Amino acid sequence: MLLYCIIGVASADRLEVCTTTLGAERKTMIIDIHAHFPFGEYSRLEDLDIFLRRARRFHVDRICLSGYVNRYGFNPTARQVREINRWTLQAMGRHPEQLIGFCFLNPAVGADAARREIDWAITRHGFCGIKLWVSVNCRSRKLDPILTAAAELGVPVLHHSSYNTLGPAAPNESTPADVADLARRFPAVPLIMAHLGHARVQGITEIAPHRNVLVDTSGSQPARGLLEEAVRRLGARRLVFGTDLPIRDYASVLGRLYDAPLTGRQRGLILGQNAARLLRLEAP
Amino acid sequence: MIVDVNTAVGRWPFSAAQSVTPARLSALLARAGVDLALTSSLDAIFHENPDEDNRRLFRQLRVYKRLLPVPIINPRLAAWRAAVAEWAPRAAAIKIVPSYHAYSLGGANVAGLAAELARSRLPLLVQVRMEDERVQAPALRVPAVPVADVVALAKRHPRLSIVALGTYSREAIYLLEQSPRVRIDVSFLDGLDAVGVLVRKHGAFAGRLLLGSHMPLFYTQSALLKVQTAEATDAVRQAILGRNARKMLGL
Ligand SMILES: [Zn+2]
Repeated sequence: MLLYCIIGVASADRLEVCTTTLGAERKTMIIDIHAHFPFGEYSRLEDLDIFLRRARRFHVDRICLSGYVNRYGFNPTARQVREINRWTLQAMGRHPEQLIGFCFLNPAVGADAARREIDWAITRHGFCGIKLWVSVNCRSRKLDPILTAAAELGVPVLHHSSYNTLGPAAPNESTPADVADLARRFPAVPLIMAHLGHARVQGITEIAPHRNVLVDTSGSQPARGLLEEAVRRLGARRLVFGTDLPIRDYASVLGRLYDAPLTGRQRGLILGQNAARLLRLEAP
Repeated sequence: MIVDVNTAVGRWPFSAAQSVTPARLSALLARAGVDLALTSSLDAIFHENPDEDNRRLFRQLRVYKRLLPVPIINPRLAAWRAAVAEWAPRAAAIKIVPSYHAYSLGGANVAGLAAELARSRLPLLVQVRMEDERVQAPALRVPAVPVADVVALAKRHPRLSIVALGTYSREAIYLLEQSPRVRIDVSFLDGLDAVGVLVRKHGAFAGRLLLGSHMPLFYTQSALLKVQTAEATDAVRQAILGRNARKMLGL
């Protein structure tokens, strides 16, 4: 929990990040909707302490773990998917108050295997959302059973998305236009489109008509102006704080949120209230 | 004292943000606690001959004590020597944008410029990139300057003070390891505690990291927070926030 203004100027030696409130801003919970552990060099369970120390430094209360999605390439088997989710569960077991699991799935393994995974992770072990990455483009009907299950269980789906000028990072990578198609097919499922930084204004425009799509604040560099443009076009209720930790850092992503000319109410929604609503967490 | 070595005035045509005037830049930096900034003209990046942009920059910045004008020189132009002669006596540093002015760091003119700056003890800021290449406008793709070319340039001019602006973390590590004197800014560094990770990798790197925000393209707070929250000693963070830059600029 925190008082969430971070303004570098305020402290005397200018090293410490100030945590005093600005006028209208209220206490809010900060939830990072998009992080990966284990991931890359952070592979041992003890490395989780580094993540949590970093989160504490920035007053981040909860972290949603989407799993080590690229551990087995773009197209993991059902067994590999289970292994990835098991690592997430292990992390959750270590810090249950702070860590929230998102069940990583590969729609290519088939409806039955996906359903078994959803039952294991969400129904049995309390994961709160579903994460989809790049194995299958989200226009594919292979996603339908997963989205149907999400609707039934009332959990959000965090979907990777990107416009990449250098070409797609994976053959079936989804773009914001693809996510808009998925949103049109499943208007009752809350979708979180990852990476505002890669959606850019074009992507924001494409998902704008689909009110069940929210966008996370991660992706690329802290490009000035993009966040306030997204708020202007979508409204603050459709943005959620997410970092893609450890690929990105709280400094880069929270810097965007604290620097952008937003109201305290808008910041509060983006930092945690929208996510708390989606994840059905207790209101702070 | 906080010094930002990577700022500019003007408008970046691909950015969602509005044009930033010197008055606005100065005010925004003041609010963020930045005492001094090296500032260039964004227009100068798009003009083959940036003379007029540099002139306007010096004229406009005169009243803003916080902003130190840094002219952009295009060494591909025959008149580059005249440009250096005009600006060197009044500038804190010289900037080059090789990808936008379409030359490599290996050419004879760059060698001449490097020798000239080493002689006059002016730092050379090399803009490695302006944008994440993955989000550039599809028809206007500008590649980054290969950091191996910066290493080679530094090797050929051991007395020249070089700052590479806009390196990613993996490029930064390569550059810091290969060139014992090249400095970098933090603007494009990322990954969990990127600054802390670099400093812990090699203690000596701390003396060669500089606060650079890449304002107005990037939010200033992102760069400040990278340094202010780095897991490092107060002395190291103070150095990166300002002391290293002051030493380089002789302030
Ligand atoms: Zn991710």
